Amino acid sequence: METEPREQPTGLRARALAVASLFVAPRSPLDYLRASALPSGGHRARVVATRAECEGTATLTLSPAPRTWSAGQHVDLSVLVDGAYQTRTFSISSAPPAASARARTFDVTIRAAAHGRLTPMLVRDAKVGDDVRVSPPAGCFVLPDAGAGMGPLLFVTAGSGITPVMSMLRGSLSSDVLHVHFERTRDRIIFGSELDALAKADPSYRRTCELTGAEVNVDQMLARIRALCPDLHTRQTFACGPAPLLDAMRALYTELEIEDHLHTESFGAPAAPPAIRALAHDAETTVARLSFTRSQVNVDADGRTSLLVLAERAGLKPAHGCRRGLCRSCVAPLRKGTVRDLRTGMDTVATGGGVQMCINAPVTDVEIDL
Amino acid sequence: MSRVHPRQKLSPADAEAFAADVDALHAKVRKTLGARDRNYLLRVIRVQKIIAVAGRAVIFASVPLMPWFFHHALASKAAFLCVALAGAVLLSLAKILENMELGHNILHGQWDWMNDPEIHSSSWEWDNVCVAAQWKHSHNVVHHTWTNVVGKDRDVGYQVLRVTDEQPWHWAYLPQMFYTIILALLFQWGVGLHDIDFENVRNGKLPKAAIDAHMVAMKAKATRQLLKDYVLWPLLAGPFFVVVLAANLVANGLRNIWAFIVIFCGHFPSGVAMYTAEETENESRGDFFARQVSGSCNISGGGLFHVMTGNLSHQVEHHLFPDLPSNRYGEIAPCVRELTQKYGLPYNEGSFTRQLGTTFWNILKHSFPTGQKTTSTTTTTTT
Ligand code: FES
Repeated sequence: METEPREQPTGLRARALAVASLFVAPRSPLDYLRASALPSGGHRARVVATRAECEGTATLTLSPAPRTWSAGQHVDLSVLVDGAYQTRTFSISSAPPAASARARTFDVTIRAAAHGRLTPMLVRDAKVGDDVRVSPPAGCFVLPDAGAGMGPLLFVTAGSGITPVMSMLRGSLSSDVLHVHFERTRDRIIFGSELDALAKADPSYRRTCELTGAEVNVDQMLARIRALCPDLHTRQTFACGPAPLLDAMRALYTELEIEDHLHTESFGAPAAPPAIRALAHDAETTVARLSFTRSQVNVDADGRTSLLVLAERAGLKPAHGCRRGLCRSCVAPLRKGTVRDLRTGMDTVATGGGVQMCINAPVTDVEIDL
Repeated sequence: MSRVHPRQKLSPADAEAFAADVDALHAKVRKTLGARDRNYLLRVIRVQKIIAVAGRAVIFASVPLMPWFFHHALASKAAFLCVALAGAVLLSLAKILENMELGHNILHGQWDWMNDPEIHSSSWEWDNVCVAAQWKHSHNVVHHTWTNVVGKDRDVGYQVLRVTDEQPWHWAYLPQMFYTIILALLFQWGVGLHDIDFENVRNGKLPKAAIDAHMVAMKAKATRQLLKDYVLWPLLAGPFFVVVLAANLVANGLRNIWAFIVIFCGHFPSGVAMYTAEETENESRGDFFARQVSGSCNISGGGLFHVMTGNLSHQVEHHLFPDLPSNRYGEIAPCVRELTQKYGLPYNEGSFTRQLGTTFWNILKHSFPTGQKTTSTTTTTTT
């Protein structure tokens, strides 16, 4: 796992730990110091407060916080669900600490996805004292130096796309900001009153909230943005929302030849896997596209041929042993998509873990880190 | 239903049906894994740590009981030896749990379904001189793929013993009872070197670089292990260095002997089937599973006994489902036994004494040139 220790222990403590670890190798002395049964390592945080936002949305305050983060970045949260960790990505919604300071806590704001399994559970059941794992903050949807020297800004957010932008707004902004937020209905607006207060207090922050109704029309949204922001070409734009809106904005900015003004972040759970396109009865049928990201190889998958065989056909030589699902020497990280165990028919959705290549076949478009 | 000889193949239809049944059982268990299983594992981890700490502490507690240096009412030779031994036994129990119920099973990936980066086959390391990565190859890949195939499965005799007629006899096997004892006493070193294919070393097929790479990694791991048990902990006892060193030596030794016994009882008691490479060519999934069943032996016993063997006393279940959590083996054993009955396959289970006794008898017997010409009889009688 790519989790660096949260804090490199320094000085005396580090030396004490190093000596102690010689006595308890191959375990870590922390395993014995901590009351919990768990071995040490990785990032952990505890829920120290929960706050209901609007209907179906909650903010979790977690502690300890990462050493630092940039407004707009996200973290992977892993929570235990019936014995197994499930991982989802969430934007940090609280402001990063000022330079040289350290934050004690940080917030993530979670909206229950309509057909999700994990987010509704988190919104409903998360309580103070729950333990979660947290990855280091990542993502390049960030505002350098709180926007200093960037000139006027435009924030376009839709739905829970407000969360990373909230982290920016809560910091000290040093520019003129126009914020266009889209939401289906008024009662779904997250952070509504806080944003109102912000707009009242700070004349350089102007905001408008556009209600779209249940039928979302991207063209209408684009038209509203252009109407509300006549000086589009002068503003650096930060947009966070569902993929279709971002795609349309990208097309518009390209057309206007200002695509370098647009910074985007898409959010939301990966779309539910499309009903398995009829598990191909004749071998010719392609049901999914398989990408080996590190080797930059793409192949078509028929839903019945294992990842291992597909990789080998494409000329790759992945490590493997038994080829029968027993030895796990063929495990490779599943970055995206859903694969199906050819023996059992069980599906595995990408949550950051690895899959056995010899017995799994792609069900949706899949990315393997190989 | 008539009994299939251990080495007889299932009919193609039966083989397919058997594979489907095995897969269905796997899927059934896999679907129900949850918090209960995780809690079991966390409890084992916790208990293991407590026993480890207790063992080390009791060893140190024996020092002030030495009548040669301390003159108080409690100090006596008997008290000292009892307490020191008790400490060594506790430490050895901790090491057994750590190596078998935790290490062996975690490194099989039995707990990878938890998505827990701290308890994962890719990152776990265990408390013995064998490097986990090397073991995952020699054991998970070689042994579990080629189970009991003579010439392919290096676990057959651990590259030093002759345990079946299929292995050609050589006069060097005559004193193999003696080798057995040495191997048992030094078992962790045997396991550590096991990923080196000595056959290929002898015939020069294994490049020297590969051997060197193995030894470099093993040396680093072994150094840490030796430093810990034979230098650092003893040093804490100051002038009584030797007491702690000896107790740790006993603890590691007992663990070695126990691991050796459990592993040998898994595949070499009487009635177990051995295979030739030709027999397993183009083997179907069903025949593969049948070989796993016919090539493995269970040891009957109580719950605690099973835990102390790392649930390898359920060797048959383990070889069918090496990636299912060990706490489930006992639960599915009745289903597995039923399946073997359905397909007329053997289900080799016996008491500890029976399995250990016949294993030793097997080794003793094969010191001598037994059954040199009988290789083909088993296959012909079954047709
Ligand atoms: S190659 Fe052994 S599990 Fe995939």
